[in-house]
Amino acid sequence: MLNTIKSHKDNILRSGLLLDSLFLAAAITVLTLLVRHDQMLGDFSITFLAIILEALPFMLVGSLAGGLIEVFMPDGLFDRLLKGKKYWAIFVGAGLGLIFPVCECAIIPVVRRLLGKGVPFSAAIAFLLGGPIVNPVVAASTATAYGFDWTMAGARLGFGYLIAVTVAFLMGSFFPDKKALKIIPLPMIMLNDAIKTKTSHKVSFFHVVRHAGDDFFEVGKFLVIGSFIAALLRTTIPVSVFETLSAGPFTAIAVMMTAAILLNLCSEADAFIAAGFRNILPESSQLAFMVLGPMLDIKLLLMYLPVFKKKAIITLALLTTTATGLAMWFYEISGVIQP
Amino acid sequence: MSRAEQILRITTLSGWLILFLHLLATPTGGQTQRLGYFLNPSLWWLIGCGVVMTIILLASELFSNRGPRQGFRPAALGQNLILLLPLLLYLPAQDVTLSSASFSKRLTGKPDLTLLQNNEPILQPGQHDKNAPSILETEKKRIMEFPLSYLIDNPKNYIGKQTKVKGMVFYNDDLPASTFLCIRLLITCCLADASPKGILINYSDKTPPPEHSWVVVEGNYMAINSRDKDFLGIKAKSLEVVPEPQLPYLYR
Repeated sequence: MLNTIKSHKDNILRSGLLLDSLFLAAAITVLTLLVRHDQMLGDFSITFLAIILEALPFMLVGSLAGGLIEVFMPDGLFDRLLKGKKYWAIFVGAGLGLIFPVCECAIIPVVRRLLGKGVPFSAAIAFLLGGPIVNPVVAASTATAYGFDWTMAGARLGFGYLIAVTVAFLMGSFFPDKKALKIIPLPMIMLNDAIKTKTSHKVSFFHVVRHAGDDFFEVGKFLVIGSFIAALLRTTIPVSVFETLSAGPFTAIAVMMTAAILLNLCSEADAFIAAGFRNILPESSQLAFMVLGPMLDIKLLLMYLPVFKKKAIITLALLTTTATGLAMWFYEISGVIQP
Repeated sequence: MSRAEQILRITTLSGWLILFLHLLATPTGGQTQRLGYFLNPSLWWLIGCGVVMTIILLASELFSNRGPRQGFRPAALGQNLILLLPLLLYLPAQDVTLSSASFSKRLTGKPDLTLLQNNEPILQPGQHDKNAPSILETEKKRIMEFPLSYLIDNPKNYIGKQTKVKGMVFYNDDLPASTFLCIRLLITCCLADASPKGILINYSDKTPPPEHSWVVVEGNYMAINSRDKDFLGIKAKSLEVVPEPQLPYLYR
């Protein structure tokens, strides 16, 4: 068993090293090309820094929350609490953001540690997808962006919840017994065992911070890579391209979903961008942008890498995109909620 | 963890701590923190959280016992180099603002103008909502020269009022004659979400300013009809081309 874990860990390290090298080589190439276009280099650099500066503190706080879960939450607690209530856990997980409002950057280290503590995979997916949308901060920002018309905010939260629950159920059935998860590297397991013995508050504090630090260095690099790609796209693609491509309502939904994935906006701010398309694109496409963005974008896809296997990430991306597309198609044809 | 990896981590965390502290500082003669170049300055607490967290992580790296030393992991070098990349880019980019080309890229074909609903009567000049903040009051509250965000929320309250605005000049084939767009970028959270908000300026007999130049316009708010809709605009009494402001953004 130990040999299997060690060999798996070696594979993770090798693939991580390859990704790092590829990114660094690509980043140097891009920056060298941009140096020739002075204005574009400036625009890119400040956009890249802005995305990072907004997301990184959230991720640091998320890492600390993850460290607290790792050290102070007893192993097997969730197994005992959720025994026989796996499906209820999905419904609760998707709405947990109402009590613990977290953004998409902070949620990944938390989910990672919750999974390690025995939270069912499907419930963790429900929290991962629903948490950044179904929360009061996002509701307030969406309502503000739409002139305090709460119908759009309600539709966003409602569809976000439904999609999170649906995708969580499907992911749970496609990947039973946490087969989607990467094996936690050895040092963390050993460290965790050491903490089970009685330790002083000072030692516990350092263990919490050490876990937070490990998460920061492991997940943080994916945040940088994702933000780099997002900033590059934000700098090079004019917004009017999305407008031009959105000929009909269904094309508009597809285009705005693509925009949500490419632009990597924070769930507290994206409503203001979507609202900018109010007199230009149908409401279903604005909603598609706001529902899909916090669940799936380039930065998030990369940040999922240290937690889930690639096959699971691809399945998650396909399911989330399809579910959002279908929900918005239904919204468009039925006109159930028209603000 | 090896000694080399620990040094790398300490370097990365120290770099981020210095960056966070630098962002919270106000440059000499400046009106707001450097943070305003990247984020809405009201999010200073977010960077404050970053400062506290990096100090805690640094303390952990410096003072906690990590057990027996291990060999250097090559992956640690990549991790730290990637996390140091934003710090390297910050050095040349700290006082840079978005270019006019970037303004254009963020403009849609139908720019987000302050629309006065056609089905609602536009207030007569001089009339305004008694509860609306006066222009003088709002100017005191904002760090910028022009309270555009108030205008966007309550356009009709301002018809007929005298005003002075500053923004970048954009022309568009769809605009009525003798009119240009005066645009500012409005940041909600960070620069990535900055979206152009504009007001139409009717310059009538004055010399049209060059495209992408910054102007200060004095005049009165009026309704300008464009594409069969009434928009909030300004009839210019005076128009002056000025240098770009040090911090050209507005914040929600």
